[in-house]
Amino acid sequence: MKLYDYVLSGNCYKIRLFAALLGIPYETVAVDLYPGKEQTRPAFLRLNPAGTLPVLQDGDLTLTDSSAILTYLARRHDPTGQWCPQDPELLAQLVGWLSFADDLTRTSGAARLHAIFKKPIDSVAAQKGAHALLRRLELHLCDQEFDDSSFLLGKAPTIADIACFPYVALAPDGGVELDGYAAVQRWIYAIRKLDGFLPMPGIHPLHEHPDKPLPEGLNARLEA
Amino acid sequence: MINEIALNDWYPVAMASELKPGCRLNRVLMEREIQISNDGDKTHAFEGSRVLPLQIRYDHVWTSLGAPARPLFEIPEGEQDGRRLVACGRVHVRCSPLRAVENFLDIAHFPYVHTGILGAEDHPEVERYDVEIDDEKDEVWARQVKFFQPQAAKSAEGGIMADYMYRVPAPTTSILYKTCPARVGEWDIITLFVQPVSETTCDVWPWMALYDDETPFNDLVQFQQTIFMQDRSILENQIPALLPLDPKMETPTRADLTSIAYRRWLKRRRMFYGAQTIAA
Amino acid sequence: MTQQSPSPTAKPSSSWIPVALSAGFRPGSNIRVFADGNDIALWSSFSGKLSAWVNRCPHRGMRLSHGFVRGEMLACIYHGWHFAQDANCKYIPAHPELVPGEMICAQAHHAHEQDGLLWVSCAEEEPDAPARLPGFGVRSLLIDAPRPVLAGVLEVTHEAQGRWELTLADQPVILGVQDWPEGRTGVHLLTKEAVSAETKKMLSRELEAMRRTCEAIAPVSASASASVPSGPSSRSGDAA
Ligand SMILES: N[C@@H](CCC(=O)N[C@@H](CS)C(=O)NCC(=O)O)C(=O)O
Ligand code: FES
Ligand SMILES: [Fe+2]
Repeated sequence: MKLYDYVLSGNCYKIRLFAALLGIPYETVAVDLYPGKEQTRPAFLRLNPAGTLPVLQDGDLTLTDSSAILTYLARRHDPTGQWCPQDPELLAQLVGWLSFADDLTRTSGAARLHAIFKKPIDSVAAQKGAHALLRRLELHLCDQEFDDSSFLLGKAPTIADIACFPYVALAPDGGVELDGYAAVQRWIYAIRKLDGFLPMPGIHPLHEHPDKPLPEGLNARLEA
Repeated sequence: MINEIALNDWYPVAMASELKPGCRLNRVLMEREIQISNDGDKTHAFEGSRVLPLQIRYDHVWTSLGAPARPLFEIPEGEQDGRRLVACGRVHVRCSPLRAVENFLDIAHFPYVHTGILGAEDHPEVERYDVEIDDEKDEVWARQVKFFQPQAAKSAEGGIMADYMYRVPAPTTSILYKTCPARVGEWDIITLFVQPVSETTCDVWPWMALYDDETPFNDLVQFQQTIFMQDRSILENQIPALLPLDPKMETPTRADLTSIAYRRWLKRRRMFYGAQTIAA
Repeated sequence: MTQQSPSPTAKPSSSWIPVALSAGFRPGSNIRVFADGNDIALWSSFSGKLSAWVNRCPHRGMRLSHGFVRGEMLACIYHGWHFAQDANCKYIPAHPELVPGEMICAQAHHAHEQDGLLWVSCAEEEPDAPARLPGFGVRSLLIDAPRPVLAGVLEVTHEAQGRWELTLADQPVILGVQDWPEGRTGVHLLTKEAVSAETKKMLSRELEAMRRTCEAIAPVSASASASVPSGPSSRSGDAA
């Protein structure tokens, strides 16, 4: 399985993160989105006429949308059905969140591209749009917490969490601060705490994990 | 505060590869709007109708708002045969251009900011190294720097004690000479060219000159982008945004000798653009 | 209604300010909060001890709210300096053998947990504890409108040290009120009695309805709500 990848892309990160959580092996082909704009060149457009990353190739199958790829990997590699539940209510909500994730790309993701690479867009509108989405997410996550869940659907993480996670956690890169979104911050923690979690630039690994001991030198000194 | 010293230096404003015939690039240099254009065989830089000095070196376009007091620094190793030259584009950061340079001179942050790549939490120690301000060249140098790295370069396999040298040839440029995994006895060169946009914002243009014939070009660029984007979230959250030159403002240790020398050197050169000279 | 409203100028600058709900602030949490215009790292050790520090590492100025908790200490994310409850630096990873001097320390404010709320005071002397008013945390909410607008919209029946008592959708509730930078207000909603998940969901929506009313009266500019409070000034420069 081959992932056409760009390290700073939140949409590619969805796939890398999910593959890491499920332990799915794959190889990557680095595509020079920036500064090379390789996605606009003929060779890449033959692969994906939409000119976007990620692209996943598995045998004869080529998938060109991050939500489609997450769905495929979940159905193919997760026999428990946890990550892509088939229950009608949950599945319908899951599709809603996948669409929400695309809205995040268009707002938080765009604000980030403007802040980092000066992509010429209306950044204030993008940041405002991101905050409107964060408010909806915060309301929903509060509801979930009242029902003792840390995740978007039911009680366990699904591909909806994976799809929404990158451009929420990376929002500060684009000047969209997460202070004041208490439930969103707890949700980010819950995802970072998952076994096999994979960080990306701008999203730290879980340094604060309770199982991580104090450094050796310090421990020795504290005991002395 | 824009002082003469800052005004009269050379700054990177574009990659040479961006200079397509007929192109016109708008840039902000020290709060002033400038244009770079290419008419097919020549590249020009302007501020309004004023022509600015210009040169193309190290895969980048360099200009100055004043009358450059000295030529652009030399990186002789960077022009050796057999190296791959890798321009990584630019990353905009909301921090002082000087903070961006200082962070690049710092190894103590590797275990926490570049965990698993340039550092590991169980190898955080910074051993003694040598720092000097070379008065003749008017540069800051750090030598004999050693640090344990899980993945020192894209081409590295497994952890190594990496050897480093740092060189600051201009206030907004930092050059790193680093153990070359592919060729024993040679140094890889990784630089940070910084374009001051304002005192508290900058564009960073990483550039590398490596002995590495194996790693695909895109992987080299993205390795560097990974590292720098890990730094960016730090740089945007240092307070104050300006680099404090008053030694009482912050608390360095022996691991920070390069940063101490860098700040002292800035003060001596009276380079205050992006610096905080009075304690807040 | 205006008669019962708290004075819009009330700013308990030397007193306790409610900055978060206890519920959800698990041991090991570390967040950025504001009190009296100060940028603060609020964190809880693994044993649950609460601290509120100036949000700036003494080493190289990194915001401590980006750091991480290890046991009873807070570590800075930049170079991993570890600070103990007394705010003294205990460990500098670059020099593992070094015992840092007493002068190397973070700056502490006062922190306090009571009645379902986490409180911070930036006063020199630790003030007396707030009056008792037990509550059960529901949720926090940031409003893009200043405190006086809230005071005008809500029918507050009683005010007690940073908290307003009122009725929301027939439920007696408590609202912890906290000024944020740039004319915004943080509120922390608690019920006086334990309520069901369904009631909490309903109250959560009522609170959002109240926010819409307030923001329609006094909208904070979009750029203000998007920018980093007291962060680096931004000039984004040229477009690509
Ligand atoms: N709906 C697509 C959107 C993907 C997308 O926007 N990808 C970005 C990278 S994160 C991209 O390729 N941008 C290139 C461009 O817009 O030119 C998905 O989720 O895969
Ligand atoms: S800035 Fe906090 S440890 Fe260096
Ligand atoms: Fe770094």
